[in-house]
Amino acid sequence: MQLPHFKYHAPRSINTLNALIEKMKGQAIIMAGGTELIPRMKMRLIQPENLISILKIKELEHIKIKKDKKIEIGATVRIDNLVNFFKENRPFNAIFQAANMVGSQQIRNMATIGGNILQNTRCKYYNRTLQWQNIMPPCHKRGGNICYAVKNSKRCFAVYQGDMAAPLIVLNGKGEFLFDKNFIQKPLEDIFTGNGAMPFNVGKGVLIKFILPQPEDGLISTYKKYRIRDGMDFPIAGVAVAIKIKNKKIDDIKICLIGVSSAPVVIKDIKDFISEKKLTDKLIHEISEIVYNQAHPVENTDGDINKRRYMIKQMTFEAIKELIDGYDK
Amino acid sequence: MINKGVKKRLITLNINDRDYHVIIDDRDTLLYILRDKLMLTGTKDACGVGECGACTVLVDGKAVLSCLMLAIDGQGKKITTVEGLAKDGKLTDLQKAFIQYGAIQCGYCTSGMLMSVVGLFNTNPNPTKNDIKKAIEGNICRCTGYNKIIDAIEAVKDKRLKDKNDR
Ligand SMILES: Cc1cc2nc3c(=O)[nH]c(=O)nc-3n(C[C@H](O)[C@H](O)[C@H](O)COP(=O)(O)OP(=O)(O)OC[C@H]3O[C@@H](n4cnc5c(N)ncnc54)[C@H](O)[C@@H]3O)c2cc1C
Ligand code: SF4
Ligand code: FES
Ligand code: FES
Repeated sequence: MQLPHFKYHAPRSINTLNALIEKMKGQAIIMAGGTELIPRMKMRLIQPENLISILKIKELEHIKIKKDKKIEIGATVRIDNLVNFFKENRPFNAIFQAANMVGSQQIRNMATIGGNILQNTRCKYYNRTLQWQNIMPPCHKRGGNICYAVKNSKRCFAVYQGDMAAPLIVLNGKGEFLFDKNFIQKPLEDIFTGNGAMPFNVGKGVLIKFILPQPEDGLISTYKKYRIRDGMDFPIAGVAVAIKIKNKKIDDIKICLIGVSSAPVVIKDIKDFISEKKLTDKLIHEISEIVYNQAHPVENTDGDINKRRYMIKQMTFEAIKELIDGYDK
Repeated sequence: MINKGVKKRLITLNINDRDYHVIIDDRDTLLYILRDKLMLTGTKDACGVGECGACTVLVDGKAVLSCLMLAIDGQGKKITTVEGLAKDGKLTDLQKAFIQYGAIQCGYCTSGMLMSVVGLFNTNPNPTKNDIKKAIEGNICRCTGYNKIIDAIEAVKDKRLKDKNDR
């Protein structure tokens, strides 16, 4: 399958990248590992005039632990490097778990963390070859005004399936973006619009790095993923949980879902619900029920939606149980 | 689309320890250049979108998908294809084991499968069965049912570890 024509550029520094972007006046797209962008280009879902590869910019490819114990992850750090870096790291275990389950080994070797977070939303009626598109009138995501997944819908429900977003969000990660020569940091959960057709509000900003705060005492985290095959597949439901344990009680909890909506879903009202309660299986069941009630997948990925919702509940239970049971060990 | 004004470039790719000078379009994938320009057709073209692993090659020792990599990004890297495994017409222990264990039937997945396994051994000379399964999870085989492939890889691992200990 041939790609459409484009002009290739590969700046070696952030300064030259900036100059290029300015010169191209928005007519360029950034490519990192290409594992998400190239299939979309092959399917002619996007046909950029200019393609800027950022892989030669050395400043973007490092992971650093800063003096204040914050961790900085450059945008082009490969998923496989994350697997190795976060192996056996209890507070950040969710990052290891998620990274280890992205795509296949070849994908993990090529794919970057920045590209993972900024991957487009997906839909089984959208991510199709040109031939398919030619026989179906365009839906919202292709500039039309219908939706095949949710009949009569006025908006697009394409799903966000980036595995890495869930752990980075529960661990309070921030992204640093470059907009017109200015560097701006944003909590990751704030970069999503919730609209499947236009999933991000960071426009043409370039993702430079991620910043993870120093892990607090008692912080533990994990990630669970549901997919049809055990390898290679995108998540059709994913749950990341981060818990802070203090005096044998849950002092803080953050849960984030992916694969069930056009943006990651940060579970609301959960911290107040558990405050000061004893850690029992019953409590974990109740938390899972709250999470279940905030997951609303639609029929546009592989798998059955009821099963996907059920799996959200089940995986939430297993994740919390595993974290708590493993805490004293 | 009209290709008016499409600029060609002359690049050098180091493949199997040999420099190839080749004229490319920016849009050419490494897979296309390997098969259609350099006639290195051992690397297979199947899905074209990252889902089958038939096009797997090594870049600087790591297994990657040549259908998702631009040829131009291969400059300055060490690329290895299945043609680079055998030396002087002699198959490697891994290739022999694939034959011996019946890990090849139609053979379409084989070159990609082999490259994934070489990539695995490059980083981990003593993989568990799970490590092996994980290393080849991106390589679809519609014939063998995978068990014979895993058996072949385990046999090579055991033999290599034994030879190392005997030395
Ligand atoms: C077979 C297959 C299986 C996959 N399975 C999974 C999976 O299980 N889970 C999962 O999460 N993903 C999966 N993916 C999707 C993809 O491989 C990953 O999300 C990967 O991490 C994307 O990273 P990349 O560097 O290749 O991104 P690219 O393809 O280079 O880019 C992705 C998008 O992000 C933009 N972008 C990239 N970097 C930047 C930056 N620094 N600043 C601004 N914009 C940027 C690009 O313009 C593009 O729109 C799969 C892909 C394939 C082909
Ligand atoms: S959810 Fe509807 S509008 Fe969005 S991509 Fe799918 S079919 Fe198109
Ligand atoms: S042809 Fe590259 S993964 Fe299928
Ligand atoms: S041997 Fe036929 S696909 Fe693997």
